[in-house]
Amino acid sequence: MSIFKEISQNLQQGRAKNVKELVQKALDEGVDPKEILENGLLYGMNIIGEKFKNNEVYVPEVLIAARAMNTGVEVLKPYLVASGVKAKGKVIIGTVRGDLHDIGKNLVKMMMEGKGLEVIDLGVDVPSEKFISAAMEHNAQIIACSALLTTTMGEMENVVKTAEKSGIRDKVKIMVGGAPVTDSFCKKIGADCYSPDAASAAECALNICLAG
Amino acid sequence: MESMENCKVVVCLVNEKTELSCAKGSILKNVLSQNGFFIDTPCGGKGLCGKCKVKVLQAQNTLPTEEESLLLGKMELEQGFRLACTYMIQQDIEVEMPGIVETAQILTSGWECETSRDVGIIKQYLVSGSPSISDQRDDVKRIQDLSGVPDLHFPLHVMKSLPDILEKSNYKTTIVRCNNHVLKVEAGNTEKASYGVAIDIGTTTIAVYLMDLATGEQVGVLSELNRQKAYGADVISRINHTMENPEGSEQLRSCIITQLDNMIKNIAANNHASLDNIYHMVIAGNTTMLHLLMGLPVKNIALSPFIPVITEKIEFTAEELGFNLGKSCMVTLLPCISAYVGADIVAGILSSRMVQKNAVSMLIDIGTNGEIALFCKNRIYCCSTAAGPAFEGAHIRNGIGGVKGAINKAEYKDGRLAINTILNHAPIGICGSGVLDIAAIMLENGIIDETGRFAAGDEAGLSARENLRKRLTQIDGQPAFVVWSDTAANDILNPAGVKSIIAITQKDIRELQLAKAAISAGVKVLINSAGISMKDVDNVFLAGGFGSYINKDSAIKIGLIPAEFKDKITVLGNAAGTGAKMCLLSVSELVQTGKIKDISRYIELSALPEFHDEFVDSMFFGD
Ligand code: B12
Ligand code: FES
Repeated sequence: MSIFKEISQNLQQGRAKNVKELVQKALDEGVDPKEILENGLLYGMNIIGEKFKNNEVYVPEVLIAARAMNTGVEVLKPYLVASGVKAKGKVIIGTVRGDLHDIGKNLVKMMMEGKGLEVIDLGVDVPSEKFISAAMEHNAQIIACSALLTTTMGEMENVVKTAEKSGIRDKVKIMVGGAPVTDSFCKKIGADCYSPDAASAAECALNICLAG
Repeated sequence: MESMENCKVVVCLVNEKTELSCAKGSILKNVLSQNGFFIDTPCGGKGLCGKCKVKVLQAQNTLPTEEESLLLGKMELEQGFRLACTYMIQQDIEVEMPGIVETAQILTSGWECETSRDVGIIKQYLVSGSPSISDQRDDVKRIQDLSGVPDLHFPLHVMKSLPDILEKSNYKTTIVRCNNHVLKVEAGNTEKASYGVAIDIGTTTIAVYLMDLATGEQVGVLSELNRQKAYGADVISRINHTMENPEGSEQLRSCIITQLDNMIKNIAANNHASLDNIYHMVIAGNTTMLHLLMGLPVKNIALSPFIPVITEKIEFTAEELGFNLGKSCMVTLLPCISAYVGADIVAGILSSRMVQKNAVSMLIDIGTNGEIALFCKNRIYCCSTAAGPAFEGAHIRNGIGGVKGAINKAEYKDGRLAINTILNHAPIGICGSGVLDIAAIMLENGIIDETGRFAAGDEAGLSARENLRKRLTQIDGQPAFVVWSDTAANDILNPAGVKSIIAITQKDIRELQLAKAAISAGVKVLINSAGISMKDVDNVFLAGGFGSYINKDSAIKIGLIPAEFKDKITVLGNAAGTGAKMCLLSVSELVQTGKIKDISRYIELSALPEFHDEFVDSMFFGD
């Protein structure tokens, strides 16, 4: 079995310790860190994402796999920085004001990271102004907002409006999601992109970054 | 201003046709509900649940909205089904409403527990001599002296009627008082005619109990679905309604008041009690329901940090709240603990008597929001965990509430899957208790594994029992397990030819995992907060409808209830209703609710990283 396949499989099974060792082993053998990332870690994470989308695996499996990925990334980080591997794009993510649900948001974040994007997580109960200032500070291409309550969905419209007011609306794309959010709601509030699950959210984000 | 064009809407309900008129561009759901046609709108008309579908005969003239295409599927759209909450009326239409909403199974019985009787409402028959030139005491003084109650207080409206009543009755009157406060003075001896009502306002159902205050007996009970349902199935959707509509709060208030007025009128009439002899109402309900009843703003209940206007016990006259029962009837709203642990739970705790016992007890009310309370060492730890509506049938492909024709039980015995429906009607869907049973059967027989995944094609061959394996199929591109189908309930191989199927899909199992994980994580967090372990719990009380209908073994099998609780469970039924009745009959019980509130510590799960971990851990089935 190739080392990539081994990394990917251990990641899918959530075996953090093995992933860490395998990544180190690959580095020791002189494998390109970028390839370890893409063909091992991200590849495995994307398979999990696909399976999650098809309901074949569920939240716990994704979280465990993501934890394994993170341990692998930690090992790789210094080498990636040294070899000048850059993220494919930057995303600001958070759960909107008044809302404290973050499990879905965290999954989206992990999947986006699994696509090689840099994700800046503002946490929960995030006021619209904070989304905007973070986007400006980090020069992000995407703001991704999550809301799980019908009462807080409306906050997303405020994020769109605040982006307009601060003159950065044409520089960022705004993605929205969470159980009560729909595509027509996304259109209604003038956001750019909605997707029903974390895996497709990550795909959309990647496409936006590649296009931009 | 745009010129207003009107459209005609003909509503066909069973054999009856009603013609309505509305402005062009109106949303069908609004037109229907404004005209008293109730349709179920669990998601509050947001186009999310698909349960508000109606048949519009001229449907083909307008394009379906995105929500409609998503939720209704091609076949239904072709047949003319549309979502009432998104359908915009552009022309004259004819609408076929689904059959009358079948009466739901509503739980009104609760366990009875010994209540001390010290009724707050006291009637006293007083015969005072007529005034004369030698006895010029004023009317009030005359009664005060006889009553023996110091500082007997007469409100203005009672004084206004006093001279007439005294004269008419020849100075033989019955006073109705609560402590030293006179509610009413009646002519003649009416001591025996004394009633009160205990009410439990649930988000879904309302129960009203008519109690004879003189004897302490229950005279009658009446239950209905909460009509506020028209504004959304859960509390958040209703709160949202008040946030999006300036009139919303008032609509919800008058909706509940009107419904309660009617229920009280009917229950009194059915039991030959006069409305004039109802002097006290004790009301339990969740925090949002009580706020809506008072017409208080509820917005801050929904948003972090979840601040209600009031949680203390509070008293009004019926008139102040807008009830028909007027000034001489008192209303007591029981205390709540927090935004999401309401007076219904306080009343439930009271009726369980768990506070008096020198033991560790837990009360669980499983519903859209699962409220859990743990009594341990003179403290109550409580939390509310957002299970979601899966237990009430929403978000489940063939899910329905506990209505006629709902599959509410299932059993796998001797190689056969036996199902039971409510009132033995032909199956129309599955309700929460049915979903639990089926999931437990699927788990037990290898149809799903402990991660919740359907066994894949050939794998199923190895693990699942043969005759159950036949029920595996694909629906909407996902694995599914056929529970019942129109042709023959026992051999289902080819769903293509089957007209109607009731099945549990992979997605349904995922919804169930979320819901049960939320409850079981809540239980674990409370146990940890009290610093004890599962086995230390001596008594477990299940409150509410769902807890009464479920099969405990199934609930344990899927991990909704910890296995350690197995032989410790007592089903309380409508514990909130029982608690409200107790408070109606006894002042000391009412005082006890305040004590329960005082020793309660609310644990906010939203702010607890530990909850998150327990929640994710609990998503799998089994231990
Ligand atoms: C877990 C949970 C909680 C936990 C939250 C823990 C946490 N750290 O997140 C706790 C107990 C704290 C909680 C609290 C409350 N909750 Co809650 N909660 C839930 C529950 C059970 C599951 C939500 C969840 O995690 N789903 C799993 C994840 C993976 O799914 P997801 O979030 O939808 O995310 C997916 C997609 O939507 C998408 N996505 C998500 N975000 C984004 C963002 C973008 C940009 C994109 C593209 C995609 C995307 O990708 C994700 C993965 O595929 C649901 C009920 C249910 N069965 O759904 C209720 C629910 C959401 N809660 C609800 C309520 C009412 C509350 C409370 C107000 C009251 C209470 N005590 O119950 C509080 C309020 C807290 C607050 N202000 O936020 C209601 C909302 C009802 C409504 N009409 O809005 C629900 C539906 C339950 C119910 N009662 O009916 N809750
Ligand atoms: S879809 Fe219309 S009420 Fe839910």
